[in-house]
Amino acid sequence: MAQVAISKVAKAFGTVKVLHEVSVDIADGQFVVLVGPSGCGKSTLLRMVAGLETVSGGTIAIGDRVVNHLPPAKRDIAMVFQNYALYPHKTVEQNMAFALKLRKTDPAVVAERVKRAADILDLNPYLKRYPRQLSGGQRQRVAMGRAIVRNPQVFLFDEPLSNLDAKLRVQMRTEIKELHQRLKTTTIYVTHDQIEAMTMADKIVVMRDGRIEQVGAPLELFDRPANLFVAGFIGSPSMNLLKGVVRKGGKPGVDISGTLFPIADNAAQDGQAVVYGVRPEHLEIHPDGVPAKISVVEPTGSETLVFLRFGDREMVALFRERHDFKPGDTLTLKPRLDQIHLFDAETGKRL
Amino acid sequence: MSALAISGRPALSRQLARLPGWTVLAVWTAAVLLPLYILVVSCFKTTAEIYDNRLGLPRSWALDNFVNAWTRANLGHNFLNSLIVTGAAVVLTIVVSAMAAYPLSRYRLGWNAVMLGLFLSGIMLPIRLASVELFTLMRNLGLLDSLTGLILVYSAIRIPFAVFIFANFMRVLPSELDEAARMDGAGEVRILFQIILPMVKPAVSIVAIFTAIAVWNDFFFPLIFIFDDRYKTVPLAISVFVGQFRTDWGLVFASLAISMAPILIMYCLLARQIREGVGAGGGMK
Repeated sequence: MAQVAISKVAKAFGTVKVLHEVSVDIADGQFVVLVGPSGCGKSTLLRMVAGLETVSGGTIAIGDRVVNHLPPAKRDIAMVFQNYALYPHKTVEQNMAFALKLRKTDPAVVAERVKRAADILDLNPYLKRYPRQLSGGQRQRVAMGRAIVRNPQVFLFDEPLSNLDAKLRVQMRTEIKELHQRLKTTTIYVTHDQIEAMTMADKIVVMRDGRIEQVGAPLELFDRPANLFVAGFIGSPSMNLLKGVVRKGGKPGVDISGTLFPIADNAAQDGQAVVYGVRPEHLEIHPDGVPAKISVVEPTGSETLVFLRFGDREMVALFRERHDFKPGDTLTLKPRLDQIHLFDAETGKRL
Repeated sequence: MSALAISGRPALSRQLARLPGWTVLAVWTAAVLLPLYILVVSCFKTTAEIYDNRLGLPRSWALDNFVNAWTRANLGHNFLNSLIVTGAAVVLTIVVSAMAAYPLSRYRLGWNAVMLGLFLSGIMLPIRLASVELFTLMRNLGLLDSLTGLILVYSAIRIPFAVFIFANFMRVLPSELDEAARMDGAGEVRILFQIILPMVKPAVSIVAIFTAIAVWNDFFFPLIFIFDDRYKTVPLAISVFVGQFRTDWGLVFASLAISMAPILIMYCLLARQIREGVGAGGGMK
């Protein structure tokens, strides 16, 4: 196990810069998720840590070694790929043992480590099978087994669950998390799915266009998004983001299309253009609230999603309790004052 | 109504439409089968019998001609030469071509396409145009009258085609496979021979059988490079059996039958892989 220090790392393909001086510190044993939309550079960063891409600038250190110029095999890391990358002509057992055999490990040790990994991952009945004879979830487990047997300092996961169906994805999510709690190996995990990031990470790194938008614990990002992008990206359904102007004459609020949304007294200036953010679950029905008309109701059973319109704007509210809503009804909604996020309309930064 | 018309129309006219196709196939089959039939029945006839009765069945199915060909005409020795030359040329072609195709199809080099184009031009130029140069080269290298010389020439001729086949099969394999192997600590040579090559088995089969057929049946290069009886391959040896004044045709036919056997066996063994390989690109899952 080891800490990983990524400092001012840059990457350019020819003249195209895909990473701009990115720095992340990963503590020993931490589970860090790199998340962002496709093309944000998260996979490139992971592949640079793995040694599959060259580093154009900055340093990557694993433990206390700078690994910029070390080949992948010498970095003491293991990677799980999105398409598993199992060797199709080798059995599950041979797939898992391959790396150890190349290192001329004692066969008894190889057998013992493969056995241990198979126990952890419930792969014992499949050791003699070929990858094509396994289901998607089983292949995924073999790919993890191949990483575990090497007992590396760092695990790297590159969108490992993207090829699985929704139900299996949830199950494997839990399995990977359990695995981490058991092995406590430093892990870097790349995904575009913010729910995966929220549920698995100790620390999330949100990226966009080759830059880091925010780094923090999942709930920290959820409760205090540093900018508009993180606010919109983290959380499902996503936060209502409404452009308006701050009014501080009487009761402080934000004027959104002529409707005053309340805010707590804070740093915003009177007359400042802002984006008012409130999560759907933080809107409550209240007689003093803002009137809005229901356009669509989406019940999922455990919660109900309600799409509303007021003036020329739209917003979404989420209720855990049952209501008998119909499209066309009018609700009066009040945001919870302590759950309001204000962003500068110009810079997108949190106020 | 129209549905009825469509379903009522076909039987006869559809079969008529197929007639030209069937005719071509039938003529082709006859063209191939007739010489083969004559070859097989003639193996069991004496020369006199062949002249008397070209198409009929032999009087007896004795194996005298085969025994004579193998022992008296010493075809066994030529057979061994052919096996050595063919086997070595196939192995050399596969190893060298795979090693060339791997970086050309899987590394980001920038000049892959140009290099592949060069190999492709090697397929298009008829090598026989260079026979004289080749002869001079072989003489200067002291490789005339040696199996090694033949092996090198054949490999050089077959490599462009093999590189082309291998590169096309290797290109479609997911890059994560070599990356995974690289992370597992495998070097490039090991990645090629233990990970990539086993995944393009159909390509290996195609290259093996096409190279083997071409080399085994070739008459031209042994004719110009080999003079010593000890190094003659089967096709060249058989040509000597056809004398100017008297030819034992039964023996010639038996020799031809013997020379066809290895290729036939190889085809039967690899046919399934070749059929699969011609269509499939060698998908991963």
